[in-house]
Amino acid sequence: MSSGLLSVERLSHRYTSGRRIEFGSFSLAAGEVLLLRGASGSGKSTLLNLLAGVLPVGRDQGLVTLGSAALHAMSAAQRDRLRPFTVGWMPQRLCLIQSLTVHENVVLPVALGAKSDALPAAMRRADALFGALGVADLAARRPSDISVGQAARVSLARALIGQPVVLLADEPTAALDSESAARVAQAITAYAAAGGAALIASHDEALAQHMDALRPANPVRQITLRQDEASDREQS
Amino acid sequence: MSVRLRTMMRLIGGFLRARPWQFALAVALCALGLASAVGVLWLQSTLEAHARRQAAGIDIVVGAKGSALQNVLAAVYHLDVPNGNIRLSEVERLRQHPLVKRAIAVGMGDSVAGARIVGADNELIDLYGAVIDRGSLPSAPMEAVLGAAFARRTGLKLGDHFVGAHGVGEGATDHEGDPYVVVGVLKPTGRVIDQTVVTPLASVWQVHEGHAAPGSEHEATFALIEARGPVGVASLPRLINQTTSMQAAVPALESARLLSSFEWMATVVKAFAGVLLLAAMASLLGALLQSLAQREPELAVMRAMGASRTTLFALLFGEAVVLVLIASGLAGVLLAAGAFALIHVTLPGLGVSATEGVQWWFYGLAVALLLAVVATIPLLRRVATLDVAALLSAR
Ligand SMILES: Nc1ncnc2c1ncn2[C@@H]1O[C@H](COP(=O)(O)OP(=O)(O)OP(=O)(O)O)[C@@H](O)[C@H]1O
Ligand SMILES: [Mg+2]
Repeated sequence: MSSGLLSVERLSHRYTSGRRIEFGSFSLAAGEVLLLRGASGSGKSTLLNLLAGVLPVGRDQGLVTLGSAALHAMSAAQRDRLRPFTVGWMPQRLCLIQSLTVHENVVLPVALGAKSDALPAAMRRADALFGALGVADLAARRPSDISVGQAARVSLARALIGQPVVLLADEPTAALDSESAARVAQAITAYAAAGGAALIASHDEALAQHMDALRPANPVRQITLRQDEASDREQS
Repeated sequence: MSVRLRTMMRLIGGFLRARPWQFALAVALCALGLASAVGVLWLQSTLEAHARRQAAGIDIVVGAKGSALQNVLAAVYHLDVPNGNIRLSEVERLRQHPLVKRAIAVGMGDSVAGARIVGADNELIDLYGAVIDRGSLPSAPMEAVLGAAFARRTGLKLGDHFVGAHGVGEGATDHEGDPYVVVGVLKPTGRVIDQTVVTPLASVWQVHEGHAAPGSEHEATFALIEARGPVGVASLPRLINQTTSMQAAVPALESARLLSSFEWMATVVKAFAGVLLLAAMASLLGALLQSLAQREPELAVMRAMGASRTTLFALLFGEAVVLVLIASGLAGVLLAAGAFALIHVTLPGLGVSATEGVQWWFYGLAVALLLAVVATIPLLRRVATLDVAALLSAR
């Protein structure tokens, strides 16, 4: 296994219901984009939840290293501190905070952090991200006044606001038309080109093609999760 | 203000604006609970202070044999009718006793416009710490000085004449005879003297001449005694009761006895206020829990964006604190309105102290903040165990 920013070895997860999912091994280096494929229910979101630190990695459930730290050795509080600067997470559910404007939602990860001197830079980054994702004119609106596709792009901007080492995006183009999807591809490519590492869960064939066209020298890698028949039988 | 703090305040504001009616109810209940709890305590302390103030400088009330409580109520609080009269010579003899610092003979029984006419030396005015506002102190029979509240209520002025009535209250009957002349008006003192007319004891004798047997001895209704030290307070009543035909009563003891018989009522009222406060807390907790359930996804997304559990705790606690602060403010307004009504309508002259009210309100505020803490505790568990993964992968 080549050592990258993020390395996953023989990772598995067991839900409290007893159901077990296996993810195998892979790694991700700076500047790389890895597309995570797999049928609905194959465990894409579960993998991203584990890597985002909101689900615990059990000691005997494989090894995940992020930079030089092993996830299973971290406390819940330490895993929480990965967000938003080490890991930028765009969850599958597009949830924006209704009482804040779109712009405030995007800078929220930085505004809630302890380092408030980081805010002016985050404001400028937010403007740049809004421009790149084609949602600049929505900044002052309330989340209830934008479409699902627009909310997806705002949500991606929010995941990128902390300039994370690793981006985890769960179905970022699920609700988008091809033009908006192209903007998302551009934004993720730009992030990777600047040294970021992106793990994208997606069914979207066009997304990989878009990104490859934008950066022919660094083609997108793909891994596919399979439903583990054996563990399903084990459960019953 | 730090960006973090400002962001949290915006979030709290958003929480509250999202469900205004639910919170309005909780706030109203909290305000009522606080106002009644604080109000009861404030009123009780005001009444006690008032009672203490009326009895200041009067260690012993000496009057005719009968109910001691009745004598105290009549002599100190001007609330009841005296048991009867005492002989002035006996008061004179009492005044010579080494343990008696001051003995003021007081003649009561007549009234004007519902207020008592108190016959006594000007020493009585000293006892109440009253000073002349206009005019002068009486120096001859049938001259009268008016208490401040009485003067304001009746509009009687210097030089005016009035006629006393025999008895007080409903059954008072007009004296035909000598009119009094107003020679002075006193400044307010916050004590019963404000509501009375003071005239030399000789005026009372003069008015009652027709009723008394000719040549009979001069009488008074009470002697207000200030004793020399605690020994005097402790030993004089027994001495008087055993060696004279008069009866001595200690106002402090009598009013304590009276108040203790009302204790259960105060307890009931306080318990009621406590229950109201508990109900307020329950409704606050209910409102907070309901609003928490509705915004679990938002809280989960904050955690997803890096907000710590502590930050979410602070948000919920801030929400509860803002609510009880609003409730405390509202309770303050209710209390002020109640105090205003008490001062200007129900019981003028009670001597309601605003500083004391503010002090009681601060106690209420402390209780309210405690309430906020207690109401938040059940929420903390829910927030600590928020299933971020489940809340953000489901649609
Ligand atoms: N909390 C849970 N307890 C038990 N099983 C769960 C839980 N959450 C998810 N699962 C199951 O685990 C499997 C993987 O779920 P996951 O959401 O990771 O799939 P996914 O690949 O993201 O699917 P989709 O493409 O529909 O988003 C599914 O079969 C799901 O039913
Ligand atoms: Mg999923």
